[in-house]
Amino acid sequence: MTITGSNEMSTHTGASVNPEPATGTPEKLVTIRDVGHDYPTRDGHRTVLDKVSFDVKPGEFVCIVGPSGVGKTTILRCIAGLQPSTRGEVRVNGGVLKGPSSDVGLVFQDYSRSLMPWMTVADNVALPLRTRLDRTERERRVTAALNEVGLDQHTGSKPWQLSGGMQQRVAIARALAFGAPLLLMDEPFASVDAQTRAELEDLSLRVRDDSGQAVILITHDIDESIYLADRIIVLGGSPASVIAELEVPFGPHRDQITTKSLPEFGELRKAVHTLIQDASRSMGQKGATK
Amino acid sequence: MIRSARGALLQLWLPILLIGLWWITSTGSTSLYFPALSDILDAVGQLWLFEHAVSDLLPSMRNMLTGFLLAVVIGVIAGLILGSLPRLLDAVEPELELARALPAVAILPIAILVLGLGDNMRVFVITLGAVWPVLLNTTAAVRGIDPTVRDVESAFGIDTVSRYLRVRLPAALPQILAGARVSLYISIALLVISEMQGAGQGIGHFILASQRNYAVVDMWSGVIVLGVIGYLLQLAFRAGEAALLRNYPPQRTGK
Ligand SMILES: Nc1ncnc2c1ncn2[C@@H]1O[C@H](COP(=O)(O)OP(=O)(O)OP(=O)(O)O)[C@@H](O)[C@H]1O
Ligand SMILES: [Mg+2]
Repeated sequence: MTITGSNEMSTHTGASVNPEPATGTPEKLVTIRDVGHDYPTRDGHRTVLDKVSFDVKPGEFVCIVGPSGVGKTTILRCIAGLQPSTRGEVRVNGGVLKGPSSDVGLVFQDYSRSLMPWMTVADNVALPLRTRLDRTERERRVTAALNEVGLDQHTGSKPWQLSGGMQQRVAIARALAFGAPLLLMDEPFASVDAQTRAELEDLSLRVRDDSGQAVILITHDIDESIYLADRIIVLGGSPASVIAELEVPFGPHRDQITTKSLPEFGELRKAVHTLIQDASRSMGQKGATK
Repeated sequence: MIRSARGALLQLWLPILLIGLWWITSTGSTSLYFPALSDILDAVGQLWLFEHAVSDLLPSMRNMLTGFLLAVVIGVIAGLILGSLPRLLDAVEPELELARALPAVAILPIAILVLGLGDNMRVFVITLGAVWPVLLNTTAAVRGIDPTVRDVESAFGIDTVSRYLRVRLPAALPQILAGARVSLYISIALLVISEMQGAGQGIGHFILASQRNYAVVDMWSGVIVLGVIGYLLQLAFRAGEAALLRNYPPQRTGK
């Protein structure tokens, strides 16, 4: 993990296109180049994303923020391969992404929909591994993932017997056991209470440390993005592109109280807040960020 | 214990009351068409324990259950496929609506022409009539599966067999069972109707033959046995449903 030691935040506008070809060097796990996306409308189409470009290094924690409706979910679905981008190219692990890939794991916002209620916790986590691994290896991975998220006592429960935070931990364990080098999360903690949210944030940081997976996480919560991210990517404009990238110089070990009371934390909060506010003003709508 | 006894009482008070009324009002009845309930129950004991149970009830139940199970299997498989392929569904929807609107009873003459008067014809008619609730419920349920679940299937590269058997089938199960319950009623009705044409045995045949021979008491005994069988089948179905849905969150189990 490469963390800049300096305290200065490097903020650069993202419109500049990196000219070097993505060759799958180990320095870059994900390269997103000039990705654009159109949604069909009754009279033609609507361009939501245009020329979105950024990279993610292995093991890096990247948060994407931006005004509501700017296209955060859209870019994440493009990276997940769930929705092929209209233009541009997404490379994961060197290969151009053409559809869902075993290099990408996903945690959805709504755990109550993304988990199968009739399956036990362990079966939910094992579901994506059924045809990939033999039984012993599968069980080993499922157990390890459930241990990692602290649910080893609940392997036989049904998701609906657990609290919201525990259910989201099942979803995290499922993505973890999947073993992809890249983990995508779209507002994963939006539907849990503040205390649980803080626990899940720390859990995500620990999971990233232990597994070395890179994470791209979308959030509406500026504090959350600063607390979690090595780098924050701000989307803005209509159609949207990357309007800023901010390095977060806090290193891998963070603490809900001390990290959040660092002076740099406040500066970053102000910077991100201003960026999002300007972006949502230029979109002509109210930003839904707090 | 006490609660279940109370539940049974709540369920049974009306039938008990009605049977009591029937018993009282029909006692000493001289009407040809409405004989005394005591006579009917005597006939039930004499005829159905166990002579006609073997000769008529058994073949009837075999046909009905075969037709019903075929309907469930066909309905679930077709529904899983149709619900998963919206374009195929759009293409065959008009034909489906037409076929469903056609009462199975209307097919009976054709079925007799083609398949003759044997058990095959009866099973066919029962299956044809009973397949629709399961088929339509399964289709709707699979089509209505949350888009997030579809995303989970593709994001995690779940193989086709698991998609159908481990995700879509269980996701649709509560609605499939609701459809199957209706199919069960239809199966019983169609069983009786299918036996009223050229059957040599079966409970429907027995009822009709008794009526034609003015054996009104026997006819009523058949009707009562049929009612009791229908009730027991529903009880069995509910028990099976509860067992199948025991892993589901409480609010999804049936009603
Ligand atoms: N399937 C779709 N068809 C048409 N338009 C869509 C579709 N999905 C999203 N959009 C539009 O694209 C824009 C971006 O949507 P997206 O969901 O990516 O935004 P977002 O940044 O994730 O928003 P939020 O912060 O509210 O989650 C929105 O204006 C939305 O209305
Ligand atoms: Mg979104």
